[in-house]
Amino acid sequence: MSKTTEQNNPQWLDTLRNDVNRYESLPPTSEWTHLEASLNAQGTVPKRALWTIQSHWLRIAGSGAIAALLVLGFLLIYPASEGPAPIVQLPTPIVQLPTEVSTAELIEPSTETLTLAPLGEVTQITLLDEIPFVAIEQTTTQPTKTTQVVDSLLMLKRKRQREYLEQLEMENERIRVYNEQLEQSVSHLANKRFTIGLMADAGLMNQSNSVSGSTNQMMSLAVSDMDYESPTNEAKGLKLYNANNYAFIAQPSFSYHHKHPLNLGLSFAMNIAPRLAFVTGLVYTKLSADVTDEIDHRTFGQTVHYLSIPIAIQWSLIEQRYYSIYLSGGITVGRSIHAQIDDQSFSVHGVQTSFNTSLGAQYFLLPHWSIFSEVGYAKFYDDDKRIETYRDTHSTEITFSFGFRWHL
Amino acid sequence: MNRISTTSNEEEQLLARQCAAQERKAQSQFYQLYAGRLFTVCLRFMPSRAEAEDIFHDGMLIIFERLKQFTWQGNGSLLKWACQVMRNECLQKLRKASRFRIVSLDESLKEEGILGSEIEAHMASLQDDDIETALVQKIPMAKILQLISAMPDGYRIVLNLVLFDGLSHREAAKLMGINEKSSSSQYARAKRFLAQKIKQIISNEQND
Repeated sequence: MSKTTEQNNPQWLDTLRNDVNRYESLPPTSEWTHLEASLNAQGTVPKRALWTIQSHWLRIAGSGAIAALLVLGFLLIYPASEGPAPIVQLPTPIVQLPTEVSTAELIEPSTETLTLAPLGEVTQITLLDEIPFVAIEQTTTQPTKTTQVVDSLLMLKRKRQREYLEQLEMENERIRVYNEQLEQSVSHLANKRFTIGLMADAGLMNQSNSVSGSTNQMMSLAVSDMDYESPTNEAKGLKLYNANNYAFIAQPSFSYHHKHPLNLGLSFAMNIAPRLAFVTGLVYTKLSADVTDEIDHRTFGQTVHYLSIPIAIQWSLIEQRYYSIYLSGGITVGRSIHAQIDDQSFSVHGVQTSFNTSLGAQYFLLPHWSIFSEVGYAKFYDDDKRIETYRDTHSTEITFSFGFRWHL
Repeated sequence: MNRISTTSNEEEQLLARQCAAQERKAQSQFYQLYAGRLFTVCLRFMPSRAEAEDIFHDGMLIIFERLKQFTWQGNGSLLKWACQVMRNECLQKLRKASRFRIVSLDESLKEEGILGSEIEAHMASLQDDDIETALVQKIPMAKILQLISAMPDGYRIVLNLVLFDGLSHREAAKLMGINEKSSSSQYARAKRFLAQKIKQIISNEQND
């Protein structure tokens, strides 16, 4: 048997080579039709540059960037110290209140407790030298979502409470002066038991037995015929009527008008197998709402900012040279980076998770860049039950997104 | 029938120019002339007919797109150039799918069910890889191509590059991302592997 010199191949192999190189296998009969259709389609669309990442350094750099992004996102979502850092430091209550207050209960001033009635009914509150309003927060019973006490809203309310208390202190001072006068002018009533009342809102009297003379100067005072041990004891405090001004210390109730979420993000895709890609990125979300206090009808703006990382697997249903149509599914984990009600910042605890599926199309404009559009379905899971956002009222959502995607 | 030989130098140059100008009629003519040969390239390189069909479609689009870069260098240069483009597309696809794996002979023999001490004996039997040319020519070409497609990726690629495309081991090694020695030894094993398979076919046919 003769041997060829070039490759040192046996003769049968050289013959085989020549036969194979001359052989013509016919492609599928419909191939030219498909090819022509593709050529026609190419004429109407801009040409995509041929792309493959040849450089290992580019791959390493891209992988590093994605890894850094994931680490950054992880640190944002799971910070080293969870640190609840409450916005409002609750002062130690001076007066220990019962854990639940259900019905109106008249408490004697000497007991140094206060009592709440259901809203709309008369509330009787004993004002002491230092009034432990904050303690009232402890009186809320297992609230529902809509009536949940939100730290920041409480803070706003406390601000108003402080303002109101300042006014009350002024009133108290006036009452003290009045009491001195009263002690002198109504000495003939020394053995009669009565109560001093203060109209909390308009300062108008609504009780009987108004005192003549110097009491005319104190339009906000009224004297009732209720039992009162001694005028000298009034220095300890006074009784308030009309619950409206104190409604805010009862369980608050808010109504929300949510605005549609705003999402902005970056998306990265990396092929892990033919037709299969790993997709990740970084998404910023803004959830806004107008919160109305149903008691005093004041409206506050609530904004919660989220940073999320989507992690998904993308499967191409149709993969052509310039475009692909795909299905994707995965999860998104996110964390609030800032939240605000009115001018008060507060923290939203926990991680918001969602499961996402989508059907999308992407068109390659540049070697590594595509423009994409997706229609998806997302199911959200609550991160912090203390605050109500759009995600709570719309836990499932049909999403529409579009943007640019970088392909590694 | 060898349709390619029917084109003259002038016709080939004109065809290349018209295809580059995206003239559909010329592209159709190009397809009629060269599709069979180019599809064979795909069948040789890809491990399945389905993948060969996929890559053939993409490869043809690329050929039509890049034809304006083609420089005629003599009769047959158009086909040679088109085959190179198609081969590169196949290699790119295989590289993307990480199929450039070098297969050791032991590994391939294990896949064949030949184990341990049998390997040495089997290797010895393969040393004589000479086969009657006439017998080889009796095997249908479609069957030969199926045989090549079914070879382990590393064997198939090196055999295609070195044997059928006539590349040197240095060129083949560069394309495969391996060193020249590996290419050489891989080629030797691939040849023996092919010989063994062909012998099996011949033996089966003789027994029938």
